[in-house]
Amino acid sequence: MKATCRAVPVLCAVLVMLSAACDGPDDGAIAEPTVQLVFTPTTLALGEERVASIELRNADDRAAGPVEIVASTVRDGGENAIPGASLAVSPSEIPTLAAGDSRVIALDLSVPESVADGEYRIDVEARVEGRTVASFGATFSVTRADGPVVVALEITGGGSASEQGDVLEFGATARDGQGTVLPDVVVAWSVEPASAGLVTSRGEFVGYAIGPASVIAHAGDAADTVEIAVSSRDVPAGILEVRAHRVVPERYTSDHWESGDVAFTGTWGCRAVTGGMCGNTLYVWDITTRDSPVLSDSVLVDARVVNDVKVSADGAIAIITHEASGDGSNGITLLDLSVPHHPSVITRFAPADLAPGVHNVWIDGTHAYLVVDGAVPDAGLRVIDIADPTEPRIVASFYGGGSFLHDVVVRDGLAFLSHWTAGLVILDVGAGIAGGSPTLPVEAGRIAPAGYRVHNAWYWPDAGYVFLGDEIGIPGQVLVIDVTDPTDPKQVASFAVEGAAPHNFWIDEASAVAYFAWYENGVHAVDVSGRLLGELEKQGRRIAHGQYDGGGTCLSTAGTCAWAPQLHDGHVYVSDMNGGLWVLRPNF
Amino acid sequence: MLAVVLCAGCSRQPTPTDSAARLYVTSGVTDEVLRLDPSDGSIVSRIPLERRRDEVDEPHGVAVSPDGRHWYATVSHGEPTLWKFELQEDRLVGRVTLPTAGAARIGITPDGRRAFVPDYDRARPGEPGRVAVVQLEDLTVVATPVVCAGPHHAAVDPAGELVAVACSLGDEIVMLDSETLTERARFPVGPNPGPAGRPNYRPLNVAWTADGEVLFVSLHAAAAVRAIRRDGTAVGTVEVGDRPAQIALTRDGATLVVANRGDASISLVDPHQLTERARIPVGAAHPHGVAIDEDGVRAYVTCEGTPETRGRAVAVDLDTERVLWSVAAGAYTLGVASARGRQAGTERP
Repeated sequence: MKATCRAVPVLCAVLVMLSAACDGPDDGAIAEPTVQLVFTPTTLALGEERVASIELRNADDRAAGPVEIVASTVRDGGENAIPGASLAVSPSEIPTLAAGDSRVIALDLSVPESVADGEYRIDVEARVEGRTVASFGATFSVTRADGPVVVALEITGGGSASEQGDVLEFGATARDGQGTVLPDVVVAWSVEPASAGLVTSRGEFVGYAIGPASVIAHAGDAADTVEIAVSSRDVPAGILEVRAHRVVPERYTSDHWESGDVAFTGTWGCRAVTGGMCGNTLYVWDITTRDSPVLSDSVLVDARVVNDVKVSADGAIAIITHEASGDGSNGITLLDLSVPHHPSVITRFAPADLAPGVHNVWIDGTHAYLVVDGAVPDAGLRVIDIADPTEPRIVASFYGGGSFLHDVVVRDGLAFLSHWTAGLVILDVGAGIAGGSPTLPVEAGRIAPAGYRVHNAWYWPDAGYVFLGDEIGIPGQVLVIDVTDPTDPKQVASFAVEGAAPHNFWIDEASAVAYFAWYENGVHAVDVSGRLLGELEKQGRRIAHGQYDGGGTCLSTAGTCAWAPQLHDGHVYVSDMNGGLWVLRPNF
Repeated sequence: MLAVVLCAGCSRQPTPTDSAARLYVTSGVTDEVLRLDPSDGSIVSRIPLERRRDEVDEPHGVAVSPDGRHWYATVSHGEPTLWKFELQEDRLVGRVTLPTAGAARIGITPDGRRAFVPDYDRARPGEPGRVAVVQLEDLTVVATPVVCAGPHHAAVDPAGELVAVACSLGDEIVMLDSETLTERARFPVGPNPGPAGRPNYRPLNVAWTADGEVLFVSLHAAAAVRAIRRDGTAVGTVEVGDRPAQIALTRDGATLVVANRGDASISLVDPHQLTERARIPVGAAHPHGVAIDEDGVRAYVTCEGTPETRGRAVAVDLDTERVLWSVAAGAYTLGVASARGRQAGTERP
C-alpha cells in the first residue's frame, strides 16, 4: 500500500477517503479456515436409553473454538418434528479445543409422555463460527410397557376427514378375550404414510399432507386403523401490500409502537454510513393518514441504543429505553403524550440499578417492567411504579438465573419473561395463582426447550398459548407453548422458516392471524386458528409473506431486515433495521 | 465510475504481514475489534465479536499475551465473555462465558497462564463485584472471587505475584495473590475514601512500575493519578486532566500516559517527580484507552466518541508531544492494545 501511495498519491488519497467511508460492520476480511473435528462414534443407537455420551476430538493441527454443540429437532420416520422432545447436550459450548484434544459430550434425551411409540432420530452438530465441522446421528425408540393381554382394539372418536392443521382426537377401546374393556392399556399410535401427519401418544392426530392418511392404534397383538381424508386448509393466498415506506437512512431502526394517530420508532447502534448516527433518537410519526406517515417530531436522549418504546394503554405516556449512554448512566425516559405528535420529556430515570442498560420495557397499568442487561442476580427484571411518572421508583426485582433476561410482556396478571437459555419464565404479578403482585413477583412456571434461546414472547390468553422466538437459531423457529396451566407450560407446536431467524411478533387475536417478523425474510402472516399441534409450516397455514425490500443483510444500507410488526387499524406497521418504517396492508 | 470501482475494493482489506506491528481497538457498539496499522491508523481488518446477532454486546477490553501469540478481548453485555485469538492470523480459537455481571479489562500474568477480568458491575454500587480468573490455555474459569465494589481493572505485577484490583465504586485497591487468589492487602486510594457505592475518587485503572514497587492509579472522580507502594503507603498524587481513565507507563519508566476522558486530552506525567509534563488535546471526545508501543515513543489512545460522534483512535508522539494521526474507528471505542506481531514459528524474547 505504501509503495502504491508513493506512486500515485492522488489515487491513494481517494482510496483512503473511500476506505474511511467503508467503516461498516460487514466487511471483515478474517480468514476462517475450517478445522477438522471428529465425533466418536458417528452414529448411536440409543434404543430405550435416554442418556449417553460421545466424544468430540480435534483432529486438526490447530486449536479450534468456541465449538458449539447443537442438537437438531427430534424427528420421526416421516421427518416430522416431535413437539416437546429434545436432546440436551452438555457442554453446549466448548470454549476451545487444542489440537489433538478431546471432550466428552453428555447427551440427555427428554421425551414427553405425548410421544407415540416408534423410532426417532436426532442429529448433533459441532459448529465453529456457525459452520458445521462435525456431526453424528442418534436414534432412539419409544415403547410403552406391556400391559394386560389385548385381544381386540377399536379406535373411537376422531373422525374420517379433516383439514390440514386440524386436530382429531381419537381414543381406543381395548378388550380382553372375554370382551371386557381394559381401562389402563397403553396404546401405541402411528400414522401412515409417516409424512401424512403427526399422532401423539394420546391419539391426537394433526394432518400435514393433503390426501389419505391411516391412523393406526396398536396394543399387544391387537390393532385398529382408521382412514382419514386430509383436505386442504384452504387458507387464502394473501399478500402484504406495501402501502408506504419512510426511510431512516442515518440510523438503524429498532422497535416501534403505534398508538392512535402516532407511530414511534426507536433507533439502534451506530450506523456505518456517511452521516451515520447512533441510536439516540425516538422518531415520532403522524399516521393520521394510516398509510402515509409523516415525521412530526423526534426525541433525542443520551444513548447509543433506544431499543424499545411502549405506550401506556390510555395513550398518556410512553417509555423509551436506553443503553450505552455517553455519561455512563442508563435507564429509561418517560414521555408525556398530551400532545401526541410532539412528546415532551417527563423525566429521565437512570438510577444506579439500571446502569448496565435497559433493553426492553412493558407498561401494565401503573407499573412498568424493565429488562436490565446482565446475567447476574442484580440484573434481570425491575418493576417500576409509575403512578406518578415524574417520580418513578423501583418496587421489585426478579432474576430467573442461568442466563440474562431479554424481554418481558405482562397481561392478565402474568409476566412472561423471555430469559434466553433459562427459557420462558412465568411470573404471577397479580393473577392470583401463586400469590404474586407487581411489588412481589412470584415464579409460577417455566419451560426451557433444550438449545432454544427465548428472545421474545407473545401471550394470547383466550387461546392459552405463548409464542416464543429465538433470534439466533437457523433455521428460524417459533415455538408454541400451551400455558392453559401456567404452572405447567408445555411445548405443543412450532413454525419454522429456513435461512433466517424470527424476531418480534404481533398476533391479531380476533382473526387468529400471527404476524412474525423474520429479519432478512420479512414478515410472515400465519393462520393460528384452532388448536395448534405439530409443525405449523406443514399445515397449509401460511397466508402471506411480505419481503417488502427484497433480499439483503441486516445492518446494511438496504434490504429487508424486519424487526417487529404491529397491526394497527387495519395496517401492519413494520420497523426495519435497515429501512426504517414500512406500512403494509394485509390483503386476505 | 471511479468511485464505484474503488469502492468495490473496500471490502477487500490488505493482507496483513506476519511481522507487522498492529493495534487492536474495541468498538463497543458495533461489536467488533478493529485491527489498525499503527503507522497511519488505517483499518487493516474488522474482527467481529458478535455473541448475539443484532444485540449490542459491547466489546470492552483487549490485551495481547506476553508471548505475543494470542490476543484476548472481553464482551461485557448479554453473556459476558472472554475471546481468544491467534495473533498471527487473527483467528478465533476460543471463547468462554464468564459467570459474572460483566467483563471489563484483562490483566494477564507474565507467564501468560492466567487472566483476571473484573466484572465492573455497576448495578450494585454498594455491593462487591467479582473478578473472573481464567486459565488461558483451555479457557477454564478457575474462580470468580468476590473482591470489591465495581472492579474495573486487575493488573498483575511484573513478577506475577500480586494482582492489583482497582475498585471503582469502592475507593480502594485490593491486592490478590495471583496464585491462591487470597486477599493480601486492601487499602484506600486516598485520604478521604467514600463509602462503597459513593466513591470520592473512583479508581479505574492501574499501572505498575517495572520493578513492581509502585503502582499508579487513575482517580476518575478526582482528576488525579495517585502513586502507591505495593504495601499501600502513599507516594504522592499528581493532578491530571478531567476524569482520567486508562493509564500506561513507558517501558523505560520515564513517562506515564493518562487518558483524560473528561477533557479530550492526555496527560504526560513524570512518574518520578509526579508532575504533569504536558497535556495534549487529542481532538476527540472521551479518551478512554491507552497503549504504548514497545519502543516507548508512541501512545495510542482510543476515544469513545459520543452518541452523536463516532469513536476514534489517535497516535501521539511522546517526544514531540504531537498528534501523529487520528482516525475514525468504531463507536464507543474503549480498549486498545499494541502488538509487534511475530513471524510464524518464532518465540518472542
